[in-house]
Amino acid sequence: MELTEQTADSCTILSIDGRLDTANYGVLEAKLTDLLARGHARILLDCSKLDYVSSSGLRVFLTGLKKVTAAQGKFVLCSLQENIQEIFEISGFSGIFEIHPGREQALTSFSG
Amino acid sequence: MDTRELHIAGKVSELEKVTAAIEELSEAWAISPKVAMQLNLVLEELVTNIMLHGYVDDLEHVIDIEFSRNDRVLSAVVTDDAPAFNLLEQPDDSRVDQPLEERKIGGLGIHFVKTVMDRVEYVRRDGKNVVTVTKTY
Repeated sequence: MELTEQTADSCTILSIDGRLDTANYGVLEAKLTDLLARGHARILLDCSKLDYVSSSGLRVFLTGLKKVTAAQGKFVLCSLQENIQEIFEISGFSGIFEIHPGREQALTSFSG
Repeated sequence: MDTRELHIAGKVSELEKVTAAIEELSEAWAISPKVAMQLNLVLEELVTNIMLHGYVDDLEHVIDIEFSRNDRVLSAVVTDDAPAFNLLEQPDDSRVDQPLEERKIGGLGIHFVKTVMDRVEYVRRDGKNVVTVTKTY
């Protein structure tokens, strides 16, 4: 699994490439903690290349959202693959996360 | 009926063997990518629970997984030698309909297993936990 960080005007974009599971969820957890420690509390997680996420991964998303919310930031997801969207729905995550179909719409949500 | 057996050590690093086995089976048994992923997620959940919560010692443990199919019914039987633990009797703390503040960090996995599989059964046999999950695919 690879994480790529990019800085945009309105937020930090984090792209996840690959699987997020019990073996590697700590990598994303550490990255989100690091971003928050550096004062980046406006985060867009681009999931276009995320092709598997287990409950361990979902837990990192959840704690990430709680921490960003506590820091009065914004945590948004975009470009979920169909199977991943379904996992989010089964877990009830589609109700608590702001999810956009594409990066453009997601970035727009950060401005204003 | 076709079957395939997998024995893994009770360590997180062994999960990739489960993924590899499912990939092979998906081709051999014409399982769709979506069902293959669901099976992988369910097995990851079951196996991780055993590894993280089941063992009370530092000894080496083995987890047996038997995959089988009968027509379009896919089954996986997970057998472990951890102390008795019936996942079906655990309270459902997943709170999937709750807002963010009410969502707890735990509880997601078992909810997912029960939702995605057609049937989940548990039995304690010969000092082992035996969980069988079934799905028509």
